Amino acid sequence: MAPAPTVKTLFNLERTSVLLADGDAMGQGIISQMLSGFGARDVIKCATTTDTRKQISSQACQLVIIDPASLGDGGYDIIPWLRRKLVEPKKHVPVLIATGHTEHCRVTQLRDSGANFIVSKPLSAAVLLERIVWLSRERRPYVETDSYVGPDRRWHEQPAPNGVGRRQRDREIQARIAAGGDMNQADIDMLMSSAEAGVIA
Amino acid sequence: MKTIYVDNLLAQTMSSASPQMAQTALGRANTNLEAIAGECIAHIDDLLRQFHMHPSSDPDERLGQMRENYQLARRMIGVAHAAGLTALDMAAKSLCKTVDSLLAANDCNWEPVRLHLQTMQLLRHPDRVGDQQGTLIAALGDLRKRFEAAPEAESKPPPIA
Repeated sequence: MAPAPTVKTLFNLERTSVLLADGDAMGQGIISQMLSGFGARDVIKCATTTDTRKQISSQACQLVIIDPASLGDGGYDIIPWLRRKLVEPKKHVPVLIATGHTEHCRVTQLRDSGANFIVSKPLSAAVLLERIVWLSRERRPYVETDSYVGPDRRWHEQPAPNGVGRRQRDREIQARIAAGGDMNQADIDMLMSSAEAGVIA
Repeated sequence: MKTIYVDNLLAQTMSSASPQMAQTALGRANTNLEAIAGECIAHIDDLLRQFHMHPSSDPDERLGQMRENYQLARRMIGVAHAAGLTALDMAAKSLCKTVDSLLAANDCNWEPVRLHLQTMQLLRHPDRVGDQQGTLIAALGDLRKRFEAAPEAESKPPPIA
């Protein structure tokens, strides 16, 4: 097995173009400040559906963070449109949905939109960082069917034997992540090495 | 079904940049967030002023007011947290869940909306509420359970291949 890479050697958004689509100026500002802290210099901000489509079409970005509900009419259609209508490599850009609340009638639509991840606001800097690291390590293929275009959702979970991680601190780390608490460097390194070994699903 | 294997461009751009300690990045991000906490509070106050506090007697109009309150509460989620008003953030989310359930049932019952809005006004000033924040959030949770319908759509990350 290859040695587990650490966040230290992999994490920096300095050369990554991020498209941030959020219809609420303050919501946009909060995520933008986090991205700035992560080193991102090129953050393309969009506040409407029209502008988001225009910017995704014309700009080369390697990560999309979007709150579809905040963009108004058509916000939920952006990701399916991106996956179906754009050409390589734009159609396969990693997409992270960050949303405060999803209406009951939209839950299925959101899950089938073709996003790589959906996370709930409030979003801490630690959770956002963790999700971006996961996206950077994403190896799932993309699938195209009549009803769905996006990352293959048939990924295989391989939980630890008996559902219990062997490392002493696994439970502590998972509990802290579940609580939305910030991680320290040791936690992050442990998370990365555990995930690499298939311990944390 | 067509399966396509693609290069992960995010991984490529991230690995091409100079290494950065995650702890440093998190520290900078949190410092940046602290710097805009005042703006977040001003935004929260602006949103709180926009809520419909008094229901219309017309049921259709009242449903419209509930939809607008839902949108305002949704915009508050995340911002209140960044402003250090975590309990208010939770109350805003609770209002969203409650109103969403009411709207799904075409129910214009204003009482749960009123209780949420009053609680949110209290939670805007946590120093005045003291250690009762948890009690207030728990009460909203009990109230919400009577109307709640749908689970959240959050996904958990898949294992790394």
